[in-house]
Order: sequence, then structure tokens, then C-alpha cells
Amino acid sequence: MKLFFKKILVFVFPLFLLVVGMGFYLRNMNSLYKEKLSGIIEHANEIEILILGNSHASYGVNPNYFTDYAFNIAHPGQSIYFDKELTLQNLESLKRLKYVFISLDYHSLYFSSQRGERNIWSYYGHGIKHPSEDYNKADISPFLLGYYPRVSFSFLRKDLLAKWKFRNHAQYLDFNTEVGVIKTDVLVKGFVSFSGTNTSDFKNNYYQERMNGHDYLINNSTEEEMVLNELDELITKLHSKGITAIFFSTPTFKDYNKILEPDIITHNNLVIEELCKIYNMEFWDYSVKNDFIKEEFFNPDHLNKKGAERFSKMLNSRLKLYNN
Amino acid sequence: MLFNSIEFAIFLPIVFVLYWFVTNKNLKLQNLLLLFASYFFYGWWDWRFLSLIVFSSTIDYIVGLKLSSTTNESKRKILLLTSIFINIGFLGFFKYFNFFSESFAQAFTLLGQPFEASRLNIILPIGISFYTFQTLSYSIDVYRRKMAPTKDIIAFFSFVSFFPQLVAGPIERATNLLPQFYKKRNFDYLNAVDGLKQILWGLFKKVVIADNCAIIVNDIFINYASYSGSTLILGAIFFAFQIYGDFSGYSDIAIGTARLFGFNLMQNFAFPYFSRDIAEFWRRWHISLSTWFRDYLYIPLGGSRGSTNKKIRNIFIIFIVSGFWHGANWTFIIWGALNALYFIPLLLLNRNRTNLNIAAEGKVLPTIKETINILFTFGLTVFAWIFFRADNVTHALSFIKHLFINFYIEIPNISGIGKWHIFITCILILIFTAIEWMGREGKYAIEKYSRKWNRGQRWGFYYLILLAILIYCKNQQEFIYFQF
Repeated sequence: MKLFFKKILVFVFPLFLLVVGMGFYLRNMNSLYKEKLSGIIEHANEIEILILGNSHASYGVNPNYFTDYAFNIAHPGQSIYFDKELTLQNLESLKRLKYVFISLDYHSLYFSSQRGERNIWSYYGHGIKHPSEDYNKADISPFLLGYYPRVSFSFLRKDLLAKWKFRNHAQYLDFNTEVGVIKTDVLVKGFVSFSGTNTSDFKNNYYQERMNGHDYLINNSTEEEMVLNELDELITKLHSKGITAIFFSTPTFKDYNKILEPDIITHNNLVIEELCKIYNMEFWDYSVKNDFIKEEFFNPDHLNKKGAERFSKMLNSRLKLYNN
Repeated sequence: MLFNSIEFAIFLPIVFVLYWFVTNKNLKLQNLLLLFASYFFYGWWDWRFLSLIVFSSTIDYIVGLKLSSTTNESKRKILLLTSIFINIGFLGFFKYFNFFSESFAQAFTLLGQPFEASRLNIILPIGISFYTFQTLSYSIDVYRRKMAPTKDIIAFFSFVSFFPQLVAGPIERATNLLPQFYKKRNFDYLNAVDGLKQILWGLFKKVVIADNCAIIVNDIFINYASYSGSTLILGAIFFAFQIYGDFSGYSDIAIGTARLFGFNLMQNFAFPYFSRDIAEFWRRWHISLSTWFRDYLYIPLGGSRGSTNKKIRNIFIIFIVSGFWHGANWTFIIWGALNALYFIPLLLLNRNRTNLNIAAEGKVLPTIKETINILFTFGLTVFAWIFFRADNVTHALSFIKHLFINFYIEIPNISGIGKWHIFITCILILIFTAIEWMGREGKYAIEKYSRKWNRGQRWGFYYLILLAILIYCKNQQEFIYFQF
């Protein structure tokens, strides 16, 4: 028995080291979540405009083109719940905040809990918990039960590769980013962007695939009411502080728009119209009615750096008019 | 509690330590620990269904004692029938009520008498088919005077609910497992190490092979209408590996876990995909169920004795009942019938016992004839698996129709699943098959595989397996056989 335990311990020891080592790495790893959060805290006294939303807003709105000090706290896959929690978490310190842009896309009204592992990632990055998620396991080991080994190894691999690739660059985005993001840019006001156009994504089967994903989510959603309550809580709180909330949507490519489900669009419009009435708000909808060309998109529903520049300038101009 | 979960990874070492260090001096206490651990293991899923196991165990315990206290044959028969009626009654209610209700309604409707099926919202208790058959084997064997009934209630209850094999087998015979609860178990280092190796290999089969295949298979079977025939064939082949990896992986983990506690369970899979004919396949696939049906159904029916018609009837009965055991769906019945059709020519030509040893025994590679036979048998099995995997008969037939009418060869392009994932899964299956082939003369693939290696090579090999398990552990899926 002693021999058995001894050998088990010897065998398990390297694994133990791996789990502890990876856990340490993951807990201390930089991420877009951490970067954006530290940005808000650092510039809390300057921020006048806050951009919320998922990847569409995250890559599509460049705060640097706003006249007032804007900050983008949208994240890929971020739901209204996390928009709300992240805003409310920092609201007291944002003394100069005047406007909050809330991104409402084709699928935004249908998910409160974030898909995939994003609930856990948001928790690691922002400390925000979604009520539907069990975070006990994620607390025990980010390597085994949080990010899981496959993603953890992928983070480490990408991190090491980036360190090697950009070793001669004074600055680069030293955190994990989606494929296509310009790594050599500097993160300013929470904005990172896609470079160029991924032409292979501008095909019918790709559009269909993305739509299938969205339609599956929407048709099986049980969270619409929850999302509306979350919006209510957010907007009510903002209004009580004298902050103006504006709904908006980012442009999507014209061919892609053709396959959007008309019933869902009609439903979305009705709900948003109702919300605008209730809260006396505006909806700046650029999703379908826009003149953006392929070269301004990274893929059919995400603007690239060039597209984000034009769109952000448009938002800024409209905001000026709105103020007047 | 799933074997491939963090809960089990915590549960197992705790029970192991308590078993060998705290209760090791007292056999009764050790059995009691196993009983509590088994109930905890099962109750983790849904504690309410523990009452079913307790009730079933109580009935068979009492029936066993009563059987030994009477010599009156008609009384003994009534006692046995009571056990069968109650056990099969539970199984029938939880598993087959809705099926029979709907099938009767459909039949009446077809006969022009529209009939509303009454459907109950019943949750199927996991493992009910397994422990029902296990406990039935006890009553039948006591009735047949093959074994003496036990008076040790703790040993008996532990035998029925023994956690390593409670929910998905192997379905142990009382004559093999129950006596092991009477004897003091001694810790055997080699047996325990071998048990750990078998658990490791079982986890590899489940987490790396089965769960990876499942992602692709699920999509192909749902969206079959939009894929080419070659992709559908790939889906069916992947399912063959999924179900093998899933179920034999579970069996390996169960057997390995039992060995850690000093128990020996029967081998449940013996490299079935290397079979050279269907008869051999059925001697190597889900052995504990096949032999159960052989001993308690096929032989009492007359087995392979009697007229040709009787032989054919018996084969059909055993395969159809075996199919129906898997689930309340016509797909399983067709799957069973299809296997009977594969089997009957071998029986009639008296060739059903030609391949008793493993393929290419003592050799590295099979002969051309063996290779052709293995591939042919595998092809037949894969075809039958389509029915097993399909949601209903219409789904299966439509899948097969699309396979033929839409046949062209393409690189699979499955939505949401990258080509790279499919390619990697193919590579993993090839590596897995190669390891299984090289280890086919053992009880599980890596049993003798690494004996000639030094410790560094051995451990390196185990670390590689462990790394693969770690990398793929996120795709956690339930074991398919839990639902049976």
C-alpha cells in the first residue's frame, strides 16, 4: 500500500505542478477584460460617454473619434446583463458621465447569460457573476474548471508566440485577442480593431451559418423578459443620475442583411419602439439602413478599423445634433 | 455522478482511503461503506430513485431467503415470478409505458379506431435496466439452485448497488460478484496499478474518442439532409467509434475502479470491431448482456437445439429483446432484428462458432482474408448503428435514403465544426485503433502494451494519454448507456 501511494504521489506530482503553474499563469494573465476595467478606473474622472455592447460595438465604435471623452466597454459576446453590471459597478466613480450608448443588435434581446465560456471569463476579468452560473468550480481551478486545459494551453501558446513575434515592438496588445485583431495597435479608450477584410467570410453559406446560430439562440430563448428587466434596471438607474441613454446598432453588410429573419426584425423593432416610448429614448439604428461597403467590414457583421472610424464619426456628429 | 467529472475525482480517493485505511479490519464495515458510497454515488444524480434500488434489493433478498426455505416447486415458481414481475414491472413502467401506450394508439388508429394515447411524464431512472437484470440474475440462480441465497443483507444490498457498475454495467452475475462480498479483500499492488491503467484507458476512450466523435455525429445526424453521402457515411462510422468509446470506456473505468477495491468484474468488451463475422462480434460486444440473455432467455427457449424454424425463432427473439432492452423505440427493435438477420446465415451454415480466437492471434497483421472479413463485419455493424442512433425509424430511413441519393465524395464541411477538428478526430481514431489492435490479446488495449518498456517510457505514455484527456475534458457528455 505504501509503495502504491508513493508511486501515485510521484506520478501525480508533475501534474500538480502543471495545475498550480497554469493556475498562477491564468490568474495573472492579462486580458481585454482586465485592460478595459483598469482603463475605466484610471479615467473615471474624464469619461463622459460609455459604449456598451457585444463584439459589434466593441470593434465597431472607436471612442477616439468622439469630441467628448468616450470609452468602449463592450466585449465580444457581452450580454445586456453584463453591460448593466459593468456600468453599475463603476457608475459612482464616473462623475462626468453624460451618455451611455446601449447596443441592441438582432440577437441582443434574447440572451442574458453569455454563451460558451464567456460568463466565466467575465467573472475572471470583471468579477461579475451571472445568477445562472455556478462559479465554485471556476474558483477552485481556472486551469481545470474555469478556462479548461485546452483553452488555457491555447492562451499560453498564443501568449508565447506573440511575445516572440512582437519582441522588437515597443508596444503591442499583450493579451489574447480574436483572430484578425490588429495586435500592434495600442489599446486607447478600450478600443481594439480588426484589420482589413476577411473576404472568405462574404459568402452565402457563411451568412447562413451565422444566421443559423443567431436564429437558434433566438428561437430557443427563454431570457427575453429577463433582458428587458435588466434594461429597465440599467436605464432607470442612469436616468436617476441624469445620464442620457441611447440605443444604437452597428452597420451590417447589405448582402448579409438580406437573409435576416423578417419576423425577428419586426419583433425587435416593436420591442425597441416600446422601450423608447417608455424611457423617452432614441434608437439609432444603422444595422440595415447604411451605405457601408465591403472594404469597411472585417466580416459581414463586424466593422474593421476603417469602418469603425467612419461609423464613430457618424455617431459623434449625430450626438452633436442631438445635443443641439 | 459521472466518471468523467470532478465530483468523481474527489469521491473515489475518499472512498478508497476510507475503505483500505478505516474499515479494512472489518468486512461488514467495508461492505457497509461500499453500500453508503454506492447510494451516495447514485443519489448524486437523483436521490429519490434510491428508493427503487432499495425496494428492488429488498424484494430479491426476501425472495432468495424464501426460495431456500421451501421445497414446494409451485411455491418456488410463484416466488420467482413475484421477483420477475416486480423487477420487470418497474422496468416496464419507467421505460416502456409511453412506448406501449403510443404503439397501441397507433395500431388502433391504423385499424380505423382512433385512440388517444395516454402519456405519462416519467423520468427514466438511470441504470434501471442494468441493476434490474443484475438482481434478477440472483433470484433466477437461487431458484435454479445454482447458488445458495445470502443471509448477509449488507453484502446483498452492496452487490445490487455496487457503484462502479451500478448505472451502466457490466451486468454482473450474482454467482460471480456476490461471493466476493463475503470474502476479505486484500490490497494487491499490481491489481490496483492495473486498475488505474484501465481507468486511464477508459477515460481516454470516453473523453478523447467518444466525446469528440459525438460533436460531429450529433450535427451530421441532425442536419443529414444537407450533407453528401460521404459525410453521412463518416457520421455513421464516427458513431460506431462514439458508442464503442463511450460504452467500453465506461466498462473499463468500472472494472478498473472495482479492481482498486479488490473486486474482479467480468470483461464487457473484447475488441469487437476486430471481429471477422457477426457471431464473433456478439461474443465480443457488451458481453455481460449477451451472456445474460444467452443464459436466462436463449437457452431456456431451446437455444440452438431443435428444428431450423425454432432456431431462427430463438435468434430473432433474443436479438429483438436485446434491442428492446436498449430503449423504448422501434429503432432499437429494428437494430436488433437487423443483427438477427446478419446472424442467421451463420447459424444455418453452422459457421457461428468458427472465429473463437482473436483475429491474427500471435501475429502483427491480419491476412488479406481476415482484413476483408473484419471490414465487412464492421460495415454491417455501422449500417445497423444508423438505426440505433436515429431518433425514430423515419429518421433512420431518411438518413439511409440521403446516403444513397445524394452520394458524392467531399471533404466534410460541417457548420460550426472546423475541418481541422474533423481531421484531428480522424487521426485520433486511427491512433486509437492502432493501439487497440496492438493490445487486442489483453483484457483491455494497454494491459500488456507497456510491460516491456522501462518506467520512463511507460510513464511518458501515460502522461500523453492524460494530456489528451485534459485537453479534451471540456466536451463532457453523458454516457450514452446511462439512458438504457
